[in-house]
Amino acid sequence: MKNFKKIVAVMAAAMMTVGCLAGCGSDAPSGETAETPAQEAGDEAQTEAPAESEAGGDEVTLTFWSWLPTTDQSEEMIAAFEEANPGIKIDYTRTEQDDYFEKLQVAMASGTGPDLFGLTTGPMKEQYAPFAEEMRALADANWSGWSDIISENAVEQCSTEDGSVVGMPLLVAGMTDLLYNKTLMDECGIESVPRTYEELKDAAEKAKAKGYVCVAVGAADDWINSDIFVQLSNEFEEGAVYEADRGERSWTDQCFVDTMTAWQQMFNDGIFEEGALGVATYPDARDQYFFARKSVFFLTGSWHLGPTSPTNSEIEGTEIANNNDVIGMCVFPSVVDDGKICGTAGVDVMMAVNRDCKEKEAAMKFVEYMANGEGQQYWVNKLQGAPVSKEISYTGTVDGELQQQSIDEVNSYVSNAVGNRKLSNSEVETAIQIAMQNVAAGADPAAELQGVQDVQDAQ
Amino acid sequence: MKKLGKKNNWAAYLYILPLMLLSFAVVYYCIIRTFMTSFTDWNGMSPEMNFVGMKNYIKLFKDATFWKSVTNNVIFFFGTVFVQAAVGFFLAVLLKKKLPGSNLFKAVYFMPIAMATSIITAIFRIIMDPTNGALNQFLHAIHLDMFAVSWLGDKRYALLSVIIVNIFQWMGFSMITYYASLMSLPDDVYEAAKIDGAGFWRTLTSVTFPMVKGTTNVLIILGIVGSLKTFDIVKLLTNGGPGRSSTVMNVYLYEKAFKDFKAGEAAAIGVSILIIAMIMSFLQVKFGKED
Repeated sequence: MKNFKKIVAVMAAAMMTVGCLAGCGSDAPSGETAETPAQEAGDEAQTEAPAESEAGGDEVTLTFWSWLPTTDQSEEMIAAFEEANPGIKIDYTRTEQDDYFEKLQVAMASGTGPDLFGLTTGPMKEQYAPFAEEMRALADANWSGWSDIISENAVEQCSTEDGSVVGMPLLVAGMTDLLYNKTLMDECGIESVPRTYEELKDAAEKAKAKGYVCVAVGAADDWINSDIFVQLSNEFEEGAVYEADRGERSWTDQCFVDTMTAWQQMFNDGIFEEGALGVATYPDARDQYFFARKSVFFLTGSWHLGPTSPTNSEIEGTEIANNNDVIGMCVFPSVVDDGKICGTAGVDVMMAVNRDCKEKEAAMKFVEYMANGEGQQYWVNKLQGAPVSKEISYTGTVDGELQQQSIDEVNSYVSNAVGNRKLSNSEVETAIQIAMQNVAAGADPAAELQGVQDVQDAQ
Repeated sequence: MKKLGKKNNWAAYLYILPLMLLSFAVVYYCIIRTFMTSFTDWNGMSPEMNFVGMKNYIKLFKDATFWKSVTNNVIFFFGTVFVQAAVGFFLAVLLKKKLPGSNLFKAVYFMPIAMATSIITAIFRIIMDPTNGALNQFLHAIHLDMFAVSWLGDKRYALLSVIIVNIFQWMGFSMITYYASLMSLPDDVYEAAKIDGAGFWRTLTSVTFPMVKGTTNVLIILGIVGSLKTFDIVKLLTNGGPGRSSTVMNVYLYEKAFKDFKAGEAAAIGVSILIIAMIMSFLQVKFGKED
């Protein structure tokens, strides 16, 4: 009996051990060389499409990951593409932007990335360049005349320092804009949208008197702090921020001190909601303040023109829709004495083709569709951003004079932008975001900017 | 009882072999890889990885943000572990009294543990909103306006808010652990204390608390490890801000790895966290035994 127990125990232990090892083992048949897990995973991803192709005749399935288009938009855009291209299926996975960046990084590192993926400009494009097919060569081979159609400036923004194009630009968006509730403006006695800082201050007092927040801002978000810094600093000295980003001048220069001081002043003057540093843009500032009819203005970018249409799906069921409020969009007022407005704009999203993608021709058909075809037209008509294609313009219906005015103003702002929204140095950008929050909380702008300079010097 | 002979030891080793292999594959291998990565300039994606010696550690120890995050972790540890344990202990003592509805309260206090952190933080973001949040509206309603602050948007209160939410989420765990421990205590000790004239507080401090010392030690060790591991609640509630006011080590690690593409530096932070956790756990075990 004792021996029997021992034999059973040994066998059980051996079986479990073999089970564990089997889980860790390679699937390679005997005689074949076992590959590293990353290679193996990558190959699985690569062979997925051909395997599906066999099952469905000549059909090709392309995996596509991004944060844009939104789920609603993607359903219509992809259905239209698949109808026009019967042999190609798009398997789209949409993830919220912050989560998407992590997901993509992990997938790329393990060789399981998608065939097509969305990227932003800035530091991201440099990091992902080794994983993406060089877009200029790919487009030259698969899409004749593309370089005459797509904005050169947008393509430039998708290029790395060595000149290779990481992805095809899809949409351009600008900072900084204000969505405004015209109905609440009338209620508060704000006669027109503020064009100067003094007018904004006056609007804040009037809004406060009626129990409303003037501007809802999601200052807890990193990106909005750096976007605002880049945009405002251009008003104080055009282009200085890009020179500092390249290390050609100091972050402690007066124009940057003035920028941070102006930012701090906005908090001191009660332009924003109380505790704005703890409020995220999405969903907090948008849903709990602007859509909930608690604020008159909402600080955002040109991609948010959609709510200026009463039929926009984003505002369905919200307080502003229930009250039939009239919504418009204008550019953020100038913070300098001479009233100069210097907008910033940049490629909001570009589409890259994975180097491991086996169906590059099919992938480029989808890229073309999104950058110049019906996909681009659909997106532009949804007011998601400005087109990158010279052949596309807004052809949707306009709900009244105010929406037309908003579209014209914001598009003019984007097309006359003086520079990019994003910086290329990730650590410096992070330091600016932290400094902006500290300054908003009362810290000394000059001391905070010295901290930014220290980060740059330490690199 | 017959002692296991030397020649029979191999059977015992075989019993633990599967677990050892599994642990090595999913835990120790990752620790070793992280340790190795901390001496490289890896960006988190590229196959290229160059040895840079101690550069990441030197940079880290000179980095004010890292030390700020360590300080925040220490504050978080003291703010959560002892309060959680104390609240859990009192709740367990009260629930042991078999008061009416004690089973319901047991479930209510334990419920937050079963809830996803993302849900808890989403709810608290709404509750703690300074303008529209229920917390400040309640404080205004009871004329405690001075306490109606910007919970998440003020550097003075952001970490405190994170600690409060963490206590809300985890005090049920301390409660249930103490409750299980209290249920195993012999009744005759309490009878003896009663005969000796000990009241509620005397019994609590001189009888109950010393007898659950083992549980307290376990909770403190788990608290040390848990507070050093803290990430999700901070990331989702304040994202480490405003500024760096609530940045803890894991949030900084995440930022280095996923935002700055400095996986080598992130690994160095990870190794530092591991070393701190080991030292603190060792000290707790050592002093816990001496007590």
